[in-house]
Amino acid sequence: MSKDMPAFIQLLEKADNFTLRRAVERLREGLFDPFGVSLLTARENQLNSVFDQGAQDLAKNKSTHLCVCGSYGQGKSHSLTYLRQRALQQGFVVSSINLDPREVPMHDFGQVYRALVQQISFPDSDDSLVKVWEQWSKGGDTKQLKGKKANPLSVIPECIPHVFKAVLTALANDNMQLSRRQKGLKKHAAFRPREFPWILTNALNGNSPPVVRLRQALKYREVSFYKEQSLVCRGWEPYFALVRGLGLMFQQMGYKGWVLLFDEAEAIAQTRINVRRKSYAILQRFFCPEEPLHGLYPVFAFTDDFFATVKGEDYERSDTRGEAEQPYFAENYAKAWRRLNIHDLHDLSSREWQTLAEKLIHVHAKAYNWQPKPGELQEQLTATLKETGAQEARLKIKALVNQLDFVQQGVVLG
Amino acid sequence: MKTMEELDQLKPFQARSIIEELRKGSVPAEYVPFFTVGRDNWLTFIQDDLANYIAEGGAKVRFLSGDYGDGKTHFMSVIQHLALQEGFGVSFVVLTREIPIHKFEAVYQAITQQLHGRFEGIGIRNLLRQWLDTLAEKEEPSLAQLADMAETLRNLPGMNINFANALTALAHNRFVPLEEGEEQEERDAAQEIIFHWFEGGKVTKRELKPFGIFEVVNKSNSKQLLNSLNVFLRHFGHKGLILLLDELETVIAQSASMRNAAYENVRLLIDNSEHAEYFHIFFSIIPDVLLSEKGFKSYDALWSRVRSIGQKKKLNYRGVLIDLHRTPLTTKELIKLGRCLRRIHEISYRWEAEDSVPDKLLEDVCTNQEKMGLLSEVRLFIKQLISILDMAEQGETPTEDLDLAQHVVSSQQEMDQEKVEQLQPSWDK
Repeated sequence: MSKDMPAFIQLLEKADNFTLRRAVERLREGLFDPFGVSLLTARENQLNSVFDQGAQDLAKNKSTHLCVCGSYGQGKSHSLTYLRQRALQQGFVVSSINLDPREVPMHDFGQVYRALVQQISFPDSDDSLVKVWEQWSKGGDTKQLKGKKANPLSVIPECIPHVFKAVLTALANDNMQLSRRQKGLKKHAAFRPREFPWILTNALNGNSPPVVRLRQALKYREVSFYKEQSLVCRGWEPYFALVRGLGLMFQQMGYKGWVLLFDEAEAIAQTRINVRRKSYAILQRFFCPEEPLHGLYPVFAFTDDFFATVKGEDYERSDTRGEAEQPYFAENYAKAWRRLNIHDLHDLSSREWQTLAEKLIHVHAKAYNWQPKPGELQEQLTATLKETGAQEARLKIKALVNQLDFVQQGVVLG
Repeated sequence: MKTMEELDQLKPFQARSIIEELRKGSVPAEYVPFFTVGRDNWLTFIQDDLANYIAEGGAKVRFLSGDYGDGKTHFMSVIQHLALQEGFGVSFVVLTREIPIHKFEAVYQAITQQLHGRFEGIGIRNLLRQWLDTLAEKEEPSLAQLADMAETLRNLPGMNINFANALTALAHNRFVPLEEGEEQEERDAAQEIIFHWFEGGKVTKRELKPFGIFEVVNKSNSKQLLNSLNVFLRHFGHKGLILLLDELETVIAQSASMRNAAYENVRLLIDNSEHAEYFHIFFSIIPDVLLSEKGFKSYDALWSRVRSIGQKKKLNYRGVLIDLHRTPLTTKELIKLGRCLRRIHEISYRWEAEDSVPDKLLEDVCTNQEKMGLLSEVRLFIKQLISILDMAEQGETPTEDLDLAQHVVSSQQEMDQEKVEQLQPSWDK
């Protein structure tokens, strides 16, 4: 029996049937489920140490990042899910998204921001960003602020774009108090307090509600400075600044920072060159920022193909569209990214696979309420592992689940 | 699924509509339980999934693989009935060149139009009408109640703000009394706009603005709106949403860029099962989608999710793939199906068929099909049988002078012709 088996059994006993079933269902589809990850992770020590090193750098106000590299099915998504859990345990705010050229393309950072906020998790609650911010700024969580900084709004960093600063302020304020007579006046016809929460929520989530309605919400939430600048966001820069600012803000709110997990980042290399150069420029801001990204810990999962594409780009190419000829790529990224913090994934040893198979038997049995004969089944799974040989990890796990399904369906169907 | 006694309860017009559809080579989806035999193992595990996994909050994608005539559409209709019995909302959509999977907004449109559930009729319009009726069951809701309801809808986890606002606008449209100078026609026109938006139809942003709807249905929000539809279905007492998407194989005939976009969408739907809840999608495919170079293999990220390795000879009834081609109906099951169809034909045309089309003839048709290596083709068997029953009913006694081999060939030719017609886009017909 492996060393971590008792802890595994303990975790398994606490889990309900549906949670386990979902974990197995997802393994069968070649995907990972957060609970499955907490049950079935191998080689966590290496991953822990590389992630913790980054967390320590962040605590020292240094910029940090991590690239998890491996081929298809080798466990990149699994590792990112594992890191998500570890980061939450350590007190980080975490967002985990899949980059995808059509739905969440890196070059459209507004879309990336929306996905990040949609998938945000806080270590101490299941609430959304808006709810957490409202509770923190209005509630007693602001005790750590002392002296001049007693105003909770002082945690909103300067680098956050104007419109989002205004929205964060509005969310922290209450509605303006109007008498019944005032409410009846034409000049307050736009006072629709029921609408304000979702207008502000949508604005902070990056969904750009109509500016007219946003302006009304800011007015009646008594944001003094909202007229000073435009409330419209254009291009990707404001969203990057917002992400950067929120990382810092979370630190000041008492969290360790914001961990951004980008799965399938190799999708960047699958896009057209004009899109790629934009995506590279954004990546460069994460990997080699001009100013430190306080509180921000970006983690990317790449296949090796991505770095091959970066290496193979024509950095001599010129952009002839403007008046003056300029290099097409702002930098030689192959050179700039030579010293990235990369964690390479390797296949498990045969002993690690045996342990994983043993754990799977327990998970499957509890998920589908059946009583396997572990010894006999372990032998069958060993044979399956031999048969699947050097296949990618995802497929080997699928084959193990398949084998367990065969035995269990034999029991069900008689 | 239904016993012979239940089958006897069919009304002649119902029986006739079954026969007419089968004669055309289509599946009368509404009546499939009356002539469903076999495939029990698959159905056992699908039923278990629906009751113990999807209804508990799970999400899953499965592929139903079979050749033309293996009974994929029929099987999907059976799943549709199972899901409706279990209390799910169900939508059965045939993917075509006009409703391609890479244009998910078009698929969303079809899904809303084909929606079935715990409401009278088909389509999202009927669902919404019934929801409005339910709101007014005891008494018409007051403005304060409508405001509370709007708040509840907006706060449902996973609910899109536009979807929630559209629901609220619909309730306001129905229950808020007409203002001074406002005509009923204006209200009806406004209601039509909202219904049209729910159906994914073309509406301008300007028309939508008064209802707090800020987006028209498009490719980037259609999946989110589908999720909201599921959230709403559950709010309205359903256990979740089951999508049956037939004929995904149309993708193979499309250009590489469309194909990749389509496969990417399928992959996203699979991966989305981490965040999705109470949601099950079945895609029907022909084996070519798995085998050919233009199939899933051409898209690594999808192929690695769908393929399995090792133990290829065994069938996993819980697996991602429901392989109908490898579980054809047995001769015994086909004869049972033949008996069902014979009874339906009898009811339909009010005659006695057993003497002129005895069980022995049903066996002979199967044996002949088996000899020609075509036993798995259920559609061919049905086609032959209906034609034999038609002849018998018109006075020709098939047992004496029927050349079964010749009959198989002509039935198959007819089926091929139907297949060609089906593959033509609607504007070529």
